[in-house]
Amino acid sequence: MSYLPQIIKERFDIDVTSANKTFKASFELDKNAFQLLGISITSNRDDLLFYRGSQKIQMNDKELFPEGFESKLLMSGLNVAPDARMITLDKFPCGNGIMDVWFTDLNHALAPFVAYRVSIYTFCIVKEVNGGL
Amino acid sequence: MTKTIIHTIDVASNNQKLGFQIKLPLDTKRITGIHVTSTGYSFVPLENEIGWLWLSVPKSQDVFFAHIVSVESEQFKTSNLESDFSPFGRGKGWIDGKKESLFHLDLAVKSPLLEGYYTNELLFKGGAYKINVYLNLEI
Repeated sequence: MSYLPQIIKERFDIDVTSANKTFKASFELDKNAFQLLGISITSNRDDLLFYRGSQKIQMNDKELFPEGFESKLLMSGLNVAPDARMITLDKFPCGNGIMDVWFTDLNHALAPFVAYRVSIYTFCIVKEVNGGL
Repeated sequence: MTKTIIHTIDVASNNQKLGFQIKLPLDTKRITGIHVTSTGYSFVPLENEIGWLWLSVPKSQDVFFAHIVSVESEQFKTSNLESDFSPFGRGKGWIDGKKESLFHLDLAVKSPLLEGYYTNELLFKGGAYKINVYLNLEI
Protein backbone atom coordinates (compact mmCIF):
# COMPACT_ATOMS: atom_id res chain seq x y z
CA MET A 1 0.00 0.00 0.00
CA SER A 2 1.32 3.42 -0.93
CA TYR A 3 0.03 6.94 -0.39
CA LEU A 4 2.17 8.65 -3.00
CA PRO A 5 0.91 10.81 -4.53
CA GLN A 6 -2.53 10.70 -2.96
CA ILE A 7 -3.40 7.57 -4.85
CA ILE A 8 -3.74 4.34 -2.92
CA LYS A 9 -2.51 1.33 -4.82
CA GLU A 10 -3.52 -2.02 -3.45
CA ARG A 11 -3.10 -5.58 -4.56
CA PHE A 12 -5.38 -8.50 -3.82
CA ASP A 13 -4.65 -12.13 -4.68
CA ILE A 14 -6.83 -15.09 -5.52
CA ASP A 15 -5.29 -18.56 -5.69
CA VAL A 16 -6.84 -20.70 -8.39
CA THR A 17 -6.25 -24.22 -7.22
CA SER A 18 -8.59 -26.33 -9.32
CA ALA A 19 -9.81 -26.28 -12.89
CA ASN A 20 -13.31 -25.34 -14.07
CA LYS A 21 -14.35 -23.78 -10.79
CA THR A 22 -15.42 -20.40 -9.48
CA PHE A 23 -13.51 -18.82 -6.60
CA LYS A 24 -15.13 -16.08 -4.56
CA ALA A 25 -13.16 -13.57 -2.57
CA SER A 26 -13.97 -10.34 -0.74
CA PHE A 27 -11.44 -7.60 -0.21
CA GLU A 28 -11.63 -4.53 1.95
CA LEU A 29 -10.16 -1.42 0.40
CA ASP A 30 -8.17 1.05 2.46
CA LYS A 31 -10.45 3.10 4.70
CA ASN A 32 -9.12 6.31 3.14
CA ALA A 33 -9.96 5.24 -0.39
CA PHE A 34 -12.57 7.61 -1.75
CA GLN A 35 -12.94 7.00 -5.47
CA LEU A 36 -11.81 4.06 -7.54
CA LEU A 37 -9.80 5.31 -10.49
CA GLY A 38 -9.06 2.03 -12.16
CA ILE A 39 -8.32 -1.63 -11.94
CA SER A 40 -5.83 -4.02 -13.48
CA ILE A 41 -5.37 -7.78 -13.44
CA THR A 42 -2.18 -9.80 -13.70
CA SER A 43 -1.06 -13.28 -12.80
CA ASN A 44 2.03 -15.35 -12.19
CA ARG A 45 0.84 -17.30 -15.26
CA ASP A 46 -0.34 -14.72 -17.77
CA ASP A 47 -1.14 -17.39 -20.33
CA LEU A 48 -3.55 -19.22 -18.04
CA LEU A 49 -5.23 -16.01 -16.99
CA PHE A 50 -5.51 -14.88 -20.61
CA TYR A 51 -7.00 -18.09 -21.98
CA ARG A 52 -8.95 -19.48 -19.02
CA GLY A 53 -10.03 -16.64 -16.77
CA SER A 54 -13.21 -14.63 -16.41
CA GLN A 55 -14.60 -12.75 -13.46
CA LYS A 56 -17.42 -10.79 -11.99
CA ILE A 57 -16.43 -7.81 -9.84
CA GLN A 58 -18.64 -5.81 -7.53
CA MET A 59 -17.83 -2.79 -5.42
CA ASN A 60 -20.17 -2.22 -2.47
CA ASP A 61 -22.75 -4.42 -4.20
CA LYS A 62 -22.59 -2.35 -7.41
CA GLU A 63 -21.52 -4.29 -10.43
CA LEU A 64 -18.30 -3.17 -12.11
CA PHE A 65 -17.92 -6.12 -14.46
CA PRO A 66 -20.66 -8.69 -15.12
CA GLU A 67 -20.35 -12.43 -14.78
CA GLY A 68 -18.32 -13.95 -17.58
CA PHE A 69 -16.25 -10.82 -18.28
CA GLU A 70 -13.04 -12.29 -19.60
CA SER A 71 -9.79 -11.54 -17.83
CA LYS A 72 -7.97 -10.93 -21.10
CA LEU A 73 -10.01 -7.75 -21.55
CA LEU A 74 -8.54 -6.37 -18.34
CA MET A 75 -4.93 -7.34 -19.07
CA SER A 76 -2.27 -5.29 -20.83
CA GLY A 77 0.87 -6.28 -22.68
CA LEU A 78 4.32 -4.94 -21.86
CA ASN A 79 4.25 -2.56 -24.80
CA VAL A 80 1.41 -0.63 -23.24
CA ALA A 81 2.79 2.37 -21.42
CA PRO A 82 2.75 1.69 -17.66
CA ASP A 83 0.61 4.74 -17.11
CA ALA A 84 -2.03 3.43 -19.51
CA ARG A 85 -2.35 -0.15 -18.35
CA MET A 86 -5.21 0.06 -15.91
CA ILE A 87 -8.86 0.03 -16.92
CA THR A 88 -10.29 3.38 -15.90
CA LEU A 89 -13.59 3.48 -14.02
CA ASP A 90 -14.45 7.17 -14.08
CA LYS A 91 -13.88 7.77 -10.36
CA PHE A 92 -16.27 5.13 -9.11
CA PRO A 93 -17.28 5.90 -5.47
CA CYS A 94 -15.67 3.37 -3.14
CA GLY A 95 -15.96 4.76 0.38
CA ASN A 96 -15.62 1.94 2.95
CA GLY A 97 -15.16 -0.19 -0.11
CA ILE A 98 -15.71 -3.93 -0.15
CA MET A 99 -14.74 -5.49 -3.44
CA ASP A 100 -16.29 -8.86 -4.21
CA VAL A 101 -14.72 -10.98 -6.92
CA TRP A 102 -16.01 -14.19 -8.45
CA PHE A 103 -13.19 -15.61 -10.54
CA THR A 104 -14.07 -18.46 -12.90
CA ASP A 105 -11.58 -20.82 -14.49
CA LEU A 106 -12.69 -22.48 -17.74
CA ASN A 107 -10.86 -25.26 -19.55
CA HIS A 108 -9.01 -24.26 -22.71
CA ALA A 109 -7.06 -26.52 -25.06
CA LEU A 110 -4.22 -24.01 -25.45
CA ALA A 111 -3.58 -23.67 -21.72
CA PRO A 112 -3.65 -26.88 -19.66
CA PHE A 113 -4.38 -26.24 -16.02
CA VAL A 114 -1.81 -25.79 -13.30
CA ALA A 115 -2.45 -23.85 -10.10
CA TYR A 116 -1.96 -20.13 -10.61
CA ARG A 117 -2.42 -16.84 -8.84
CA VAL A 118 -4.61 -13.95 -9.96
CA SER A 119 -3.62 -10.49 -8.74
CA ILE A 120 -6.06 -7.60 -8.83
CA TYR A 121 -4.65 -4.10 -8.51
CA THR A 122 -6.82 -1.17 -7.49
CA PHE A 123 -5.98 2.52 -7.77
CA CYS A 124 -8.00 4.83 -5.52
CA ILE A 125 -7.95 8.53 -4.76
CA VAL A 126 -7.47 9.39 -1.11
CA LYS A 127 -10.47 10.84 0.67
CA GLU A 128 -10.79 14.60 0.40
CA VAL A 129 -9.46 16.48 3.43
CA ASN A 130 -10.26 20.15 4.11
CA GLY A 131 -11.95 20.61 0.77
CA GLY A 132 -9.09 19.42 -1.37
CA LEU A 133 -7.12 16.37 -2.30
CA MET B 1 -25.18 5.35 -16.49
CA THR B 2 -23.48 2.64 -18.46
CA LYS B 3 -23.79 -1.11 -18.14
CA THR B 4 -22.07 -4.00 -19.84
CA ILE B 5 -23.93 -7.17 -20.68
CA ILE B 6 -22.47 -10.36 -22.09
CA HIS B 7 -24.20 -12.82 -24.37
CA THR B 8 -22.53 -16.21 -24.73
CA ILE B 9 -23.02 -18.46 -27.74
CA ASP B 10 -22.04 -22.11 -27.49
CA VAL B 11 -20.71 -23.47 -30.77
CA ALA B 12 -20.45 -27.22 -30.98
CA SER B 13 -20.15 -28.42 -34.56
CA ASN B 14 -18.60 -27.34 -37.82
CA ASN B 15 -20.65 -25.53 -40.44
CA GLN B 16 -23.09 -24.67 -37.69
CA LYS B 17 -25.35 -21.68 -38.34
CA LEU B 18 -26.88 -20.14 -35.27
CA GLY B 19 -29.63 -17.58 -34.91
CA PHE B 20 -30.02 -15.99 -31.50
CA GLN B 21 -31.64 -13.11 -29.69
CA ILE B 22 -30.11 -10.80 -27.13
CA LYS B 23 -32.51 -9.31 -24.61
CA LEU B 24 -31.45 -5.87 -23.47
CA PRO B 25 -32.50 -4.25 -20.19
CA LEU B 26 -35.84 -2.49 -20.68
CA ASP B 27 -34.38 0.92 -19.85
CA THR B 28 -31.62 0.74 -22.47
CA LYS B 29 -31.26 3.99 -24.40
CA ARG B 30 -28.28 3.37 -26.63
CA ILE B 31 -25.63 0.85 -27.49
CA THR B 32 -22.26 2.53 -27.22
CA GLY B 33 -19.78 -0.28 -27.69
CA ILE B 34 -19.40 -3.85 -28.89
CA HIS B 35 -16.66 -6.39 -28.40
CA VAL B 36 -16.59 -10.00 -29.56
CA THR B 37 -14.26 -12.67 -28.23
CA SER B 38 -13.94 -16.44 -28.48
CA THR B 39 -12.85 -18.74 -25.68
CA GLY B 40 -13.17 -22.16 -24.09
CA TYR B 41 -11.75 -24.21 -26.95
CA SER B 42 -11.94 -27.97 -26.57
CA PHE B 43 -9.28 -28.35 -29.27
CA VAL B 44 -6.25 -26.51 -30.65
CA PRO B 45 -7.53 -24.47 -33.58
CA LEU B 46 -5.35 -24.22 -36.66
CA GLU B 47 -7.19 -21.44 -38.42
CA ASN B 48 -7.20 -17.89 -37.21
CA GLU B 49 -10.59 -17.01 -38.66
CA ILE B 50 -13.27 -19.16 -37.10
CA GLY B 51 -16.62 -17.59 -37.93
CA TRP B 52 -18.76 -14.63 -38.92
CA LEU B 53 -21.17 -12.74 -36.73
CA TRP B 54 -23.97 -10.31 -37.58
CA LEU B 55 -26.13 -8.26 -35.22
CA SER B 56 -29.29 -6.46 -36.20
CA VAL B 57 -32.20 -4.57 -34.71
CA PRO B 58 -35.39 -6.33 -35.79
CA LYS B 59 -37.90 -4.38 -37.89
CA SER B 60 -36.52 -0.88 -37.48
CA GLN B 61 -32.99 -1.42 -38.68
CA ASP B 62 -31.00 -3.86 -40.69
CA VAL B 63 -27.62 -5.29 -39.74
CA PHE B 64 -25.58 -2.74 -37.80
CA PHE B 65 -22.60 -4.88 -36.87
CA ALA B 66 -20.73 -7.53 -38.84
CA HIS B 67 -17.57 -9.14 -37.55
CA ILE B 68 -15.08 -11.84 -38.45
CA VAL B 69 -14.39 -13.75 -35.25
CA SER B 70 -10.77 -14.75 -34.72
CA VAL B 71 -9.09 -17.26 -32.47
CA GLU B 72 -8.82 -15.32 -29.21
CA SER B 73 -7.58 -11.95 -30.36
CA GLU B 74 -5.36 -11.04 -33.28
CA GLN B 75 -3.80 -8.41 -31.09
CA PHE B 76 -2.10 -11.12 -29.10
CA LYS B 77 -1.08 -13.31 -32.04
CA THR B 78 -2.18 -16.49 -30.40
CA SER B 79 -2.10 -18.71 -33.47
CA ASN B 80 -0.08 -21.78 -32.68
CA LEU B 81 1.38 -21.61 -36.20
CA GLU B 82 3.29 -18.54 -35.11
CA SER B 83 5.00 -19.93 -32.06
CA ASP B 84 7.93 -17.55 -32.47
CA PHE B 85 5.56 -14.68 -31.98
CA SER B 86 3.58 -16.38 -29.25
CA PRO B 87 3.04 -13.88 -26.48
CA PHE B 88 3.59 -16.42 -23.74
CA GLY B 89 5.76 -19.14 -25.25
CA ARG B 90 9.28 -20.12 -24.34
CA GLY B 91 9.66 -17.72 -21.47
CA LYS B 92 9.49 -14.61 -23.61
CA GLY B 93 7.93 -11.49 -22.23
CA TRP B 94 4.47 -10.63 -23.30
CA ILE B 95 5.36 -7.78 -25.59
CA ASP B 96 2.95 -8.24 -28.47
CA GLY B 97 -0.27 -7.15 -26.89
CA LYS B 98 -2.01 -3.94 -26.15
CA LYS B 99 -4.95 -2.91 -24.07
CA GLU B 100 -8.26 -4.14 -25.42
CA SER B 101 -10.88 -1.62 -26.37
CA LEU B 102 -14.45 -1.82 -27.53
CA PHE B 103 -15.69 -1.07 -31.02
CA HIS B 104 -17.46 2.24 -30.51
CA LEU B 105 -20.82 3.07 -32.01
CA ASP B 106 -23.84 5.15 -31.12
CA LEU B 107 -27.05 3.28 -31.76
CA ALA B 108 -30.35 4.42 -30.28
CA VAL B 109 -32.41 1.45 -29.13
CA LYS B 110 -36.21 1.44 -29.35
CA SER B 111 -36.83 -2.26 -28.94
CA PRO B 112 -35.13 -4.21 -26.09
CA LEU B 113 -34.27 -7.05 -28.41
CA LEU B 114 -31.39 -7.66 -30.79
CA GLU B 115 -31.15 -10.43 -33.31
CA GLY B 116 -27.92 -12.14 -34.20
CA TYR B 117 -26.63 -14.69 -36.62
CA TYR B 118 -23.42 -16.66 -36.40
CA THR B 119 -21.85 -19.07 -38.86
CA ASN B 120 -19.07 -21.39 -37.78
CA GLU B 121 -16.39 -21.49 -40.48
CA LEU B 122 -14.03 -23.91 -38.77
CA LEU B 123 -12.92 -26.89 -40.80
CA PHE B 124 -12.15 -28.92 -37.69
CA LYS B 125 -14.95 -31.36 -36.89
CA GLY B 126 -16.25 -31.90 -33.40
CA GLY B 127 -14.58 -28.96 -31.68
CA ALA B 128 -16.55 -26.84 -29.25
CA TYR B 129 -15.96 -23.26 -28.18
CA LYS B 130 -17.80 -20.19 -26.95
CA ILE B 131 -18.38 -16.77 -28.47
CA ASN B 132 -18.86 -13.87 -26.07
CA VAL B 133 -20.61 -10.72 -27.30
CA TYR B 134 -20.04 -7.73 -25.01
CA LEU B 135 -22.46 -4.85 -25.31
CA ASN B 136 -21.86 -1.52 -23.61
CA LEU B 137 -25.20 0.08 -22.94
CA GLU B 138 -26.29 3.54 -21.92
CA ILE B 139 -29.19 3.24 -19.51
